[in-house]
Amino acid sequence: MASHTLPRPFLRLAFRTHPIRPFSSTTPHLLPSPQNPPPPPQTPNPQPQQNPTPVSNLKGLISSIGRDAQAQTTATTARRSALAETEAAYRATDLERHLHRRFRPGDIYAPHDLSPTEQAKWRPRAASGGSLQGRGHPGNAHAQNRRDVFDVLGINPLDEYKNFSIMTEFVSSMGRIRHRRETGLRGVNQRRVAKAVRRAVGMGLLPSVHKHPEMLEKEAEEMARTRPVRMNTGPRGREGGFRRPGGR
Amino acid sequence: MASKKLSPTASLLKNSRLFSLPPPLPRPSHDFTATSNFNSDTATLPYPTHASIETTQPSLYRGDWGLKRPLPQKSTANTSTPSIRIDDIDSIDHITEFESASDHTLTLRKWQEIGLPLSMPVKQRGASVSDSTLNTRATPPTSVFESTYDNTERRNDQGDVRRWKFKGPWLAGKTEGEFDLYLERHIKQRKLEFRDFLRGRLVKERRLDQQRKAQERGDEFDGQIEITETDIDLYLKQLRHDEVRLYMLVEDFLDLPISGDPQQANATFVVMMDSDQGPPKTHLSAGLSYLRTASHMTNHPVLGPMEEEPPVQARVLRPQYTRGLAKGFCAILGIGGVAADDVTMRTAFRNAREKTGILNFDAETEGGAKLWVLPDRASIDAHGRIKLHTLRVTTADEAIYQNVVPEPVAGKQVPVNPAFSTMPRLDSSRPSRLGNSPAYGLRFDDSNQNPKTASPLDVPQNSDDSVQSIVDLVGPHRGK
Repeated sequence: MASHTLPRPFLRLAFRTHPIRPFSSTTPHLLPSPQNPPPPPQTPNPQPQQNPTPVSNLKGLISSIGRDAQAQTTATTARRSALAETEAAYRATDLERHLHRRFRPGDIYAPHDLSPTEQAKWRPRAASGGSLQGRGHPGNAHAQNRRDVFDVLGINPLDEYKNFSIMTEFVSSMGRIRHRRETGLRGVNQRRVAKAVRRAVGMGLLPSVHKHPEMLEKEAEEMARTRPVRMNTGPRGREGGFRRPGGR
Repeated sequence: MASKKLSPTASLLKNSRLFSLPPPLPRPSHDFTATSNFNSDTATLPYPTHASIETTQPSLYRGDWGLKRPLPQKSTANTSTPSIRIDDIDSIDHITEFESASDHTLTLRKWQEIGLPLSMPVKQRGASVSDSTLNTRATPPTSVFESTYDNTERRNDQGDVRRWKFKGPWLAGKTEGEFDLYLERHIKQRKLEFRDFLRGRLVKERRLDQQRKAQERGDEFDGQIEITETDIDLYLKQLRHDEVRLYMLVEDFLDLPISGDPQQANATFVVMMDSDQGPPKTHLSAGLSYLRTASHMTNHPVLGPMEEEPPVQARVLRPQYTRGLAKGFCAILGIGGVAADDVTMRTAFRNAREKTGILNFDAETEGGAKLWVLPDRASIDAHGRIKLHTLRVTTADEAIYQNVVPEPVAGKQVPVNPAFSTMPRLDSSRPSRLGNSPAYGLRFDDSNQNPKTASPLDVPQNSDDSVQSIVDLVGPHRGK
């Protein structure tokens, strides 16, 4: 169910220990536990042996087999309990991974607030490049709640064209002015912001691309120098595995 | 109740759901912090914004909620707690929009079952509130219904009083933009009104002045005070250089909540202002409880009057240490639908052995980790949220309600009351099992195979051990 959310090494380990990683709701008697380990492997019964070997030899053989079996059982039990512990740890991590809501004192909760559906709504979404408010997709509660930041602060964006830290917030990583959908501004302020960004670019305060091409080139060189050359990566290894789109 | 003078139609309208449903409150304000970037529009709000309505059982099965059209049975009658809230009584699509209101309805019911009175908020210094400030044993709570606080009128016979309700806004809580908007929309048009207000003040001041002068001369002043427009202009100019007086006049005119020390005489504020909370948004009880004190005693069916209220089972909503997140300040508990800080953990129980699920996430317990707590103090903060303080329950208390025999304390000698040990059993003719009788709130299990979880009262008759075990369990201080 949730196994696809596990990182790959976890997955491999989990599947090696047990074919199916059970949840806490799984019937307990199906789980291997240190309390009721599965029956130890069958020890070969020495009785049906018909070989005419001396008695002392037979006794030695029996005791050695018994010792072996005992040691094997102990080892198996230890391994199983270790596995059960690992498994329990994985189960806890896996369940906890789904608890997204961080309750604050004073919150009211009803049973549905603890449900997986509701918890999933509190899941942090991947930030889309430092946009101001556009993390939630349109139609989300977040989108309904959004307010124009310039209205809240009582600032005219056109006065802030020299404030490049504000202006960069409204520019994408490729140097494009962000859409209203992402900025959450009302029409008037969006036009003012766009004008202020163009003005800042025109004055040379803001690059028209996110970073200067020379800086990007330098960064790439730096990366290639510092990064250890790996085997089996071919010629890309020497370049640091980094190539800008557009292929200079 | 509609008066008799009303026509039948008017009375019908007045008693209808259409007119009795109050307009909804605004949703809790959205703050711009990073953590609140992710939220759910279907999550239960910290306070109810809509009135929840119920209907009688026969009407429920007809779908009759007193609204314009019957509501579908499938979504209303298929629950044990049918209560709804109306989002839109008649939408443009000719649909009555409603949803279940059982979240807040049941929370209120649970709250009333806990029976905790609401008290004045505790003065907070930053985020850290020590357990001793919150603990009602250390600092006794003040009821929100005390006449010194529970006022809405500005002044009574004795003069100005503290109150919780103001006509004006809390200016310090407004952002720059909101403040500009407030000036634009509400203040600009009241310029003339303020001038009239100043005229009244000036007349009062001049009259007092004239009266004082006349008194010094030895006669009485009962003349009229003439104020011209130039007088008011001059007064305004004077006021601009006397900021303190001007602020006081503006506060009086706009009825702003005074942000001063509540200990001072002129402070009208009931909530402490040294946090960024502002004046209360609602009455400090929020209608959750109308109890004035918690000075009542629970009577246990077997053990008699109890020192403590019965504990409540709390759910661990967030353990202190969570995966991938920073270490929490303390665990968050859910008590009867209300999330609260587990403050006790930080102080008294810091070094004690914590139960599983409080420090770290517990994946093993069915339904999540739970513990027994004692709701101690509750107040409503300025945002209308419930602030609940709980205490941990002692093992003996827990045992009474949880049906578990605690481990005996070494070296503890409890004197046995001889009268108690020789008390004849009234039902000695048959094997006595309290578990078979109605339990009066005690959950005694009949199927006790495990002696560890056996009922403390389910013991052989006429045995001294049995009495000893009960006294051990309860302790000598429990009964009053």
